[in-house]
Amino acid sequence: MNNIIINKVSYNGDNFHYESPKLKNGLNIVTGANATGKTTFMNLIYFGLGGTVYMFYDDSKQKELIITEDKNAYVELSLKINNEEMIFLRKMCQKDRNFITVICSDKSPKIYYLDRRSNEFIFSDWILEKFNIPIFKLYQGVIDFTFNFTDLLRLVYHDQLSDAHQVFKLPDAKQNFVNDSSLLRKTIFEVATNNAALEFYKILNDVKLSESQIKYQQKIVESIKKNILYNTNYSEIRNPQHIKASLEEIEVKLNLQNIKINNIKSSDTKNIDQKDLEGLYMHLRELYNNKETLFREYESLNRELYDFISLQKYQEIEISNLNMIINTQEKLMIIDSEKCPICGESLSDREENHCICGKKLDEKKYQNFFYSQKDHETILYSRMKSIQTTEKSIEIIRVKIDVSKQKLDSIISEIKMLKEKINILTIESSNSKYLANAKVALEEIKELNSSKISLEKEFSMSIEHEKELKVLNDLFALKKEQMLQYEKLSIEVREKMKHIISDFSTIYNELLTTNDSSIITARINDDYEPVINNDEYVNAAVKAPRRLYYYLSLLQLSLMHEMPFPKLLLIDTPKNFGIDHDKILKIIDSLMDFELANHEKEYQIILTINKESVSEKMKPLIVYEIDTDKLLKKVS
Amino acid sequence: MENDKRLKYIIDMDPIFIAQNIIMILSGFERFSIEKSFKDPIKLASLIYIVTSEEYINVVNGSINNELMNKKEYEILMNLKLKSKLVMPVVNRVLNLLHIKNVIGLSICNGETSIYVNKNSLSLFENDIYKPLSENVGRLRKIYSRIPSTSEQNYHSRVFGVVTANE
Repeated sequence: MNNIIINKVSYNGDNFHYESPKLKNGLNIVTGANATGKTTFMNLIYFGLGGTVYMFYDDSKQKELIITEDKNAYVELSLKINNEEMIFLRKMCQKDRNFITVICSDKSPKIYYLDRRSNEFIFSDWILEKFNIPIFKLYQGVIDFTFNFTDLLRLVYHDQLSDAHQVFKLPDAKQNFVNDSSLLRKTIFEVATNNAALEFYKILNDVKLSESQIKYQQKIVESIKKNILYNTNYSEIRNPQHIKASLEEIEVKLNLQNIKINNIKSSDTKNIDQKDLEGLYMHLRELYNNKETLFREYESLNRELYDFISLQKYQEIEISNLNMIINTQEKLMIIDSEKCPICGESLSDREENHCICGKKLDEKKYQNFFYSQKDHETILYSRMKSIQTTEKSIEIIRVKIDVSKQKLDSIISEIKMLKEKINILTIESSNSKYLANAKVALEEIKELNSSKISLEKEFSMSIEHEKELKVLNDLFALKKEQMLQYEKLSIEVREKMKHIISDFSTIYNELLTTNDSSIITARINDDYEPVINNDEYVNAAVKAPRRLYYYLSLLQLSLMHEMPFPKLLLIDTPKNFGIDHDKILKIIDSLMDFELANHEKEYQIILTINKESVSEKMKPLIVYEIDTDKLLKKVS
Repeated sequence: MENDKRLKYIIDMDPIFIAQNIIMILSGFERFSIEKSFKDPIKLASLIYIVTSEEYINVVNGSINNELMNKKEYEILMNLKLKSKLVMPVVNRVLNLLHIKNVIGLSICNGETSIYVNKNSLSLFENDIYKPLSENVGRLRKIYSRIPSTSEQNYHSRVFGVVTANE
């Protein structure tokens, strides 16, 4: 089971220093008067774990002067991750704060950067690996971003600055489109609570990677294809086997010409049956003619297939656009037959069978200028019918192409056999009357050689094309396999999340209803957001505890079931919740009850509270009391 | 719906189609305020069609890189040129309607037009069916800066005109 236990927090600089006592498992309370440094204590831990704390930065408006003006300062966290002792060191100065030095007991120190832009494997990746959480990217529209450890810390650090309404507010970043998106919030909860979700997000990442590889490979295939078509006169790429057959034909023709020349040179004469040879040549010519016809038919079928596939693509785009149009029209409502097409004002005065300008016009003709949502749906339906027809036509053409290819292959093999026969007969014949003179034969050889060179070039390029196409098809197959796994895992994760939501809601409901009489029911919805009293109005004071109890419920759940959540809570000064003193005491009581019920388990809560809120019952749990001075002491 | 009305339907001239593509382009290009707004409606009109297909984006990219084109690519370019010239009046009308509906911001000051999308209206487009369009906007954004901005007379010949067909 994953856990982080902080043992000790230290701060060392040229001017100031601080060293906490040893922190223990379970609940640790740190107290102090107002403005003595309780928040600084929490922020030192958060900073040491790789978080961004603006009050420690020189360029921040609300900087902590003691720290930003100190020299050679660093934070040292002594901690246990999954029972392995280690130390994290992070410097405070602007130049060196973007890396953390990790010292494990039996290994040499290692430096991990925090910034992903310049480093492939960063601190977040290392620590998530410790928790067996894979490195994965999330995709939102055109933006992609990697899931980080600090995202998980959103459910660990209950800070003062974040709005109590928002359970998932990131403490160290200004809100933007990505870091406050519902996708990221849902992912954080799923990663924290569901082991199956880890595998799911990993496979999702693999699918996206395959998609990008497919796009890259498609470009390679397309560029080779473009190159081949530019160098040949064909509208489509020819099959390498056919190019090879053409090459063999040229080879045979070359052989024939060479034999002609040799025969002219030779003085030997033999008697052969010239009539037989003539008949065979006639048959060969016939076969060549048939082959040419079949080849033309094959090419035209391929062209037809290409045209239909292009049409299908166009129809798919049109259908997707029509779907979007229907959705947009429903939401935007900007064009309609009862609204002015120029200014969008409602045309309440328009009479039926009249135009907008008041002139008489047949209502049907008037309506012909506007397409309602229903009209769009009818058009979509008709386009869907058309695409089905196109698909059927493609199937028929594919069958025709197969038949044509079989015929072509059989005629090619017949030609080959006949040529061999003629070759043998021709070699036997010498000084035949069919032999042309050497000059014509040499011209023929020259032409044949030039065709041979261009065909060889085409052949090598089409082999390359076929090779790259095979890689592309393999990638498609891989993606298909990954998609199957993705769908399977998606169902598994959804099922498991239903149980987790139910268990979480039970704990959350019990905690809130026991500690606040104004709350009747509490649960989390499918987006894992809290719903109090079925979303009816509750007083503002409830908003604060609902976030804290959410964190506590998560910790409780992680102690009951095996899940990746690191079982650490950092809760900073509940006094600033804006609620009355009694409620603070109730919250702290519930934390103490939690400690009593779970004191033997491996977890840690570090809580800072104001000195005024400390009761007798809490005193044994206080690990450190900040005295009237500040947390950081001046170096003597 | 009557048959002739259905047959007369041209998706490229549908104001809703044009409106949704304009909004997706403006949001994909992060034009959310008057300071960071879209300044060129003629260019916007041509992007509406380029963005509809990955193939069109590749062809336009080839054209602005002065690559050799085959007959089919040349035809695509000519088609895009014709469409974006014809659609200008509809684009103006749609921009006006969207502005009245407060979906986009539109201001004309000293002859300079500024168009930007109101962030609140983007929630209307939070649906997976817009994903292919949104991906195409992302692709278009990569080549967008190389598409020139110029006067109406010169624009179409600058963007689509400098091509040689490889018959």
